[in-house]
Amino acid sequence: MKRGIKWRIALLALTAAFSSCRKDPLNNLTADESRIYITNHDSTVSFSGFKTYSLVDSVSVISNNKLEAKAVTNYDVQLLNAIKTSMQERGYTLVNKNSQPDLGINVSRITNTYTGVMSYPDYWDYYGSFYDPYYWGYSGYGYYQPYYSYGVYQIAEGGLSVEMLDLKDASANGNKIKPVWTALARGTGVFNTANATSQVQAFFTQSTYLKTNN
Amino acid sequence: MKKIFNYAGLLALTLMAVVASQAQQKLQMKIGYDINTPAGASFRNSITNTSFRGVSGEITYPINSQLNVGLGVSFSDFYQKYPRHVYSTKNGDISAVLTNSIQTTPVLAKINYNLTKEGLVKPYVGLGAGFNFVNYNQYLGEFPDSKTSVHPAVSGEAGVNILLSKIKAVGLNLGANFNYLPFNYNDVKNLNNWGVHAGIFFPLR
Repeated sequence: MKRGIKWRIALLALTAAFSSCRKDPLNNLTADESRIYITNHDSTVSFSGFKTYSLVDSVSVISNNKLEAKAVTNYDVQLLNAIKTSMQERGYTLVNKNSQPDLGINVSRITNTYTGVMSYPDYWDYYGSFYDPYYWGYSGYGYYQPYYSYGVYQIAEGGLSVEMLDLKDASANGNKIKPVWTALARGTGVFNTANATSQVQAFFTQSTYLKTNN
Repeated sequence: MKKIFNYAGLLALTLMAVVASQAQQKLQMKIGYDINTPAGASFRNSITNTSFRGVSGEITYPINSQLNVGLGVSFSDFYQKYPRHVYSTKNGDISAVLTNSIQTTPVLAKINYNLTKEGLVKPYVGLGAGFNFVNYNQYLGEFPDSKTSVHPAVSGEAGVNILLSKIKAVGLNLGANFNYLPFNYNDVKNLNNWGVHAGIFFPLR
């Protein structure tokens, strides 16, 4: 029995030491560091060929692939203003959408919620390895499975999306509007008003090809 | 190379059988703190930081006064965070803080050879062969690319065992080691590292 205790203590100490030794990357990230900015563009397109653009007057709120609303919150206003500023800095001229702009810009807040069922029976199959009955003074005992057998979890994820559309060449492209630049921000605080402007700036900073010859 | 790993596996199984058959007597346990640093360009391209988060444990059985065989397990946590940078992709760019987090857990069959038969300070050399359990995570911001896998592992070490109590066979262990740890994911081709360790040993009786 004494030997058994020694073994258990040694094993428990080793397991605890291993799991506690890891430096958790997520705990060592600030909210700003957690965010990523992804931009993609059509490399066959010359952005200097576009002169004018139009921007949506509201932000689409899309949840689980369904349009929930067109919103103009403080956050949305800051986003739209930041896009206008950045486009102006790159030489593009803002025009009314009825004035045949070369480019159209859409802005969306996308959230997706996933609901899943956790396999509780699997959890209980290994319950003895998580909580050794020895701890409760019942060495060598096992556990019954509880009468309930599943658990439900929900994960919500979101992102800010900006798309630049080639309106000028829509007819030449077989009556299809081609997205020529997309930007996506994801991570903690992506929908915080305080971050709206800096996120748009990040998109444009890493997209140096976005400029016109105006 | 494949042959070496086959032999290593065979050696590991043989030693496990020997240790198991002798498990009732004379077993000695070693628990230590490990510091390891990545070696080689491939690993160092991903992480250059030295790991100060390492532990190891070993159970050995003395075949004679100089030769011990046993099982060893060690754990090292390698971590490095790079400041925000714009990384180019095929048609675009990603701006992110990149974090590499890699945990290695080699489980090895071991042979240790004491260079002296007598004395309170016994220098030794050791060899180990077995398998390495790898937990690889590369985070772009808070988003991980994860992979867990098992690979062959070979280790060599040298050190000294300093006996503190001859009767109780308790003492200190100091040593240095090199871990040859093949791996292949993303651009990381191996997780080779070298390090130093300090610990205590005591009988499991």
